[in-house]
Amino acid sequence: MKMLLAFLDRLLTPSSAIPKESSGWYRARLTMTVSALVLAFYFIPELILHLIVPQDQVDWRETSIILGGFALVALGFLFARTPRYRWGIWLTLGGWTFDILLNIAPGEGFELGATIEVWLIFGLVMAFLLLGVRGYILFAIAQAAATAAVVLWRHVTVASLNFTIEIYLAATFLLGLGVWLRQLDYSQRKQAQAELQAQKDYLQKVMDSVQSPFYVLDVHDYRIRLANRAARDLGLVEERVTCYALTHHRSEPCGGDEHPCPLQHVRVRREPYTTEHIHFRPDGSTYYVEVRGYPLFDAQGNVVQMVEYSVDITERKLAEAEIRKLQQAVEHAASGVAITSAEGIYEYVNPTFERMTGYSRQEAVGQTPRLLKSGYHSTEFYAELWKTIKSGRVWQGELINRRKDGSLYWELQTIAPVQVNGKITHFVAIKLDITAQKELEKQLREAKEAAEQASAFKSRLMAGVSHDMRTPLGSIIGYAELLMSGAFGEMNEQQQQILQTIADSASRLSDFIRGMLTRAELESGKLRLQPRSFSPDELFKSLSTYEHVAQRKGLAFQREIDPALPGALYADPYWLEQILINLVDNAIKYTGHGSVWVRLRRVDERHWAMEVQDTGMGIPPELHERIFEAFEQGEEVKHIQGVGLGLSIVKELVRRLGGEIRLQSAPGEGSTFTVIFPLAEGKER
Amino acid sequence: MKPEALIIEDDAAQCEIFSAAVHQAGYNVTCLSDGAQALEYLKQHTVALVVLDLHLPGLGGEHIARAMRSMPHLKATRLILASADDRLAGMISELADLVLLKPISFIQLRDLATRLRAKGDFSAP
Repeated sequence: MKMLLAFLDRLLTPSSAIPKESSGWYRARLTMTVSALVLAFYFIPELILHLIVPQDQVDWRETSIILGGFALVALGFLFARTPRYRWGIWLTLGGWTFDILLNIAPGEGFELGATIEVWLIFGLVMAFLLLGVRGYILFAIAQAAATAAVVLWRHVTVASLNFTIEIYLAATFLLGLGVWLRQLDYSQRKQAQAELQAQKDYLQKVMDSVQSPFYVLDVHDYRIRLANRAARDLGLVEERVTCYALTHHRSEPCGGDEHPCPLQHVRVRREPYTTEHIHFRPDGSTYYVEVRGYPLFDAQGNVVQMVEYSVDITERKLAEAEIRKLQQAVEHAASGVAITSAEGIYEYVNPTFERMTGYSRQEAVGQTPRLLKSGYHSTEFYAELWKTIKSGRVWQGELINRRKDGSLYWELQTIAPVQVNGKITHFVAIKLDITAQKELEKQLREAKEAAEQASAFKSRLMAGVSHDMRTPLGSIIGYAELLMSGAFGEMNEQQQQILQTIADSASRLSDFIRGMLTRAELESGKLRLQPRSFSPDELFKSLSTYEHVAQRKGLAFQREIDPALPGALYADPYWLEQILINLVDNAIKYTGHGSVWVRLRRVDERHWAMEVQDTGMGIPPELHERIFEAFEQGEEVKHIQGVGLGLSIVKELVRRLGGEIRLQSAPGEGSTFTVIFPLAEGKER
Repeated sequence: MKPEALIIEDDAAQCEIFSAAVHQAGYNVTCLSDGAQALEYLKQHTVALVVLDLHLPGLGGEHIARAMRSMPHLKATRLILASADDRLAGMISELADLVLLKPISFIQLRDLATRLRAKGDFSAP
C-alpha cells in the first residue's frame, strides 16, 4: 500500500523544473490527478466497453470520439508534468469537454441531460480552480459555443431547459462569488503586498541612507542576502556573490590567518565582533575598513545570518599612520619634548626628556614644569614666560633646570602653544640640553680672556722692552757722539771710527726694535687704526731725525707739500708716518750722493700720495716685486746693513690702510716710491 | 744773553747728553728729573726751549706739555718731545714743535736746538 502511494506520488509529481510547493506545482499536480481520474474512471472503462462489445454493434464514430478525448486528456496529463502545465490543463479540460459534447452528438433526438451538464459544470469548476478567472471565462465561452454548436448541429432536444438554466445561474453565482472572493483576497493581498512593499521600501531607504556598506550575509555560504546602496555600489549585490570573493578577491573563505573573519567569529561565538580589514574596491584598489558583524538568530536561536557593517577608515588609517610617524619622530627626537595641558600639566614627555631630566614618563606626567625648577631664575622670568605663551606666542630662551638627581643643567627651550579654534589646548616644549655648549662657551670665553690677557701682557711687555731698550740706546748713541764731538777731549781717528761704529750699531738696534714692534702689531692681526683729521705737515715732524742723518751724509734733503693737497687729511697719521720713515730711511741708506726728496702731493680728484725719491743706485726691474717680500734685498745692496725688513712691512701697512705702493726705478737712475691713498670723502678740507 | 732751556728727563745719562747738546747749541740749560718740580719751575721761568721726555714717573710728560701750552708767558717757548713710544708721541705731536724718537742722537739734538735758536722758528726749515 505504501509502495502504491509512493508510486502514485511519483507518478503525480510534476517535473522538477517546476519550483516545489509553488502554486504552479500544485496546479500541475491537480491537473495530473484530475487527468488520471478521468482517464481511469471514464475513458478507460468506456474504451474497454467499446472493445469488448461485438464490432457490428459498435458505432465507429463513438469509438473514435472516445479515443480522441482519451488522447487529449492523456496528452494533458503528460503536459501537466512539464513547466507548460497550463497547456496540460487546457488539453485535459478540452479533451474531456470534447468527449462529453460529441458523446451526445451521434444519435438524433438525444437529450442534453443532466449528467452531461454536471460534467460540463465540473469542467467549469476545474477551469476556475486551475486557470483562474480569465481561464474560467475563456473556458465557459468555449464550452457554451461548443455546446451551442452541437445543439444546433445535431438538433438535440433540450429536455430540461429549466434545470440547465438553474445550473448555469448557480454556476454564475458561484463564479461571481469566486470572483468576488478572489478579488477580495486579491485586494487584501495587494494591500498587504503594498504595505509590505512600503515597509520594505522604508527599510531599504533606511538602509540606503546609511552611507557605509551594510549587508546581510548567510553564515553558511557567505553569500550576500541583502545589501544597501553603498554596499551595492561596491558590487555587494544580493544573492550573487560571496563576501570573500568580492572584498578579499579570494576563491574560498579566509582561514582566519591573514585577518580575523567576523563571520566565523559571529557564527562560533554568537556575539557581535569588530575588526579592521583591507578590502578591495570594484576597481581593484584597496582601502581600510572597520568591519562590524552582528549575529542574526532564527527562531531556534541558531545564528543563520550576520549583519555586516563596514566603515571606510582609510583616512583615519592614513592619519593614524601620519600620527604614528610624527609620534616616532617625537619619540626618537634628539631634543627633549614635553606636552603639557593648557594648565601646564605634563601629559607627555619623550625618552630624551627622560634622559635629560632623569624623570621617567610616569614620574613626569601629571606634574608641572615646576618639577625641574632650579630656583636660579626670578619669579618675573617665569611670569614673562607664561605671559608670552598664554598670549599665543612662542617663547624661546635659555634656562637652568634641576635634574632628578639634583644636578643643574642648561637648556635651550622653545615653548609653542597649540591652539584649536583660537583656544590654547596644550603647550609643546622642545628642550635642548646646552650645558656642554654653555661649558664650551665659558671655556672659550675664558680662553679668549686668557689670550687677550696674554696678548695685552705681550703688548705691555713689548712696549716696556722697547722703552727700556731705547733709553739706554739713547745713552750709547748720545755718549758716543758726545765723545766724537770732542766734548771730553779730542779723539784720534781710530777712536772716532770706533765711536761711529758704536753709534751705528745702536741705531741699527733701534731700527730693529721699531721694525719688530710694527711687525708684531701687524702679525697680531690687530692693527690699531685711529684715523683722525690732521695737517699734512704733521707727517714731516718726525722726519727731522732723518733729515739730520741725510745732511750728515752729505745728501740734500728736500720736503715738498703740494698746495693742491687739502689742508686736512683724514687717516691714521701714526702709520703714515711709519711708512714715510721707512721709505726715507731706506732712501738715505741706499743713496751715496745726491738728494732725497719727500713729497706729499695730490694725484687726482680722489687720491693723494706720499712720494720718496732718491738718486741712489736704483733697483733692477726684475727685483721690483721681490723687494717687497719679507727680508728680501737686492743683491747689490746686501752690504748695506739692517734693511730689507722695512719694505715688506711698508707694503703690508699700505695695504691695511687701503692704499697702494708703486716703485719706479732703474739701476743708476735712482728710485721713486709712491704710496697712493684715496682721499676720504667729506673728511678732507 | 743766552736763552734759557729746560730739559725734563728722569734718566741721568740722557739728561747729561741732552744738556750737553743743548748747551752746545747755545742755551743756558737746567735739567730736572721730576715732573712736578719741572712744572713749578716753568711757572716761574720764561724759557725758550723745553726738551720733554714723555715717560716721566709721577706727573706725566703729556700733562706737563698741556699745562705748559696753557701758560701765557711760555707762548714763544719751543717744545721738543722726546719719546720711546712713537705712538704716544704721535698722539700729542700737535702740542710740540718737534718730536724726537728715542734713541736721540746727540748731534741731531744739538743741531736742531741750534737751528731753533738761530731762526727762532723751526716749523719751516
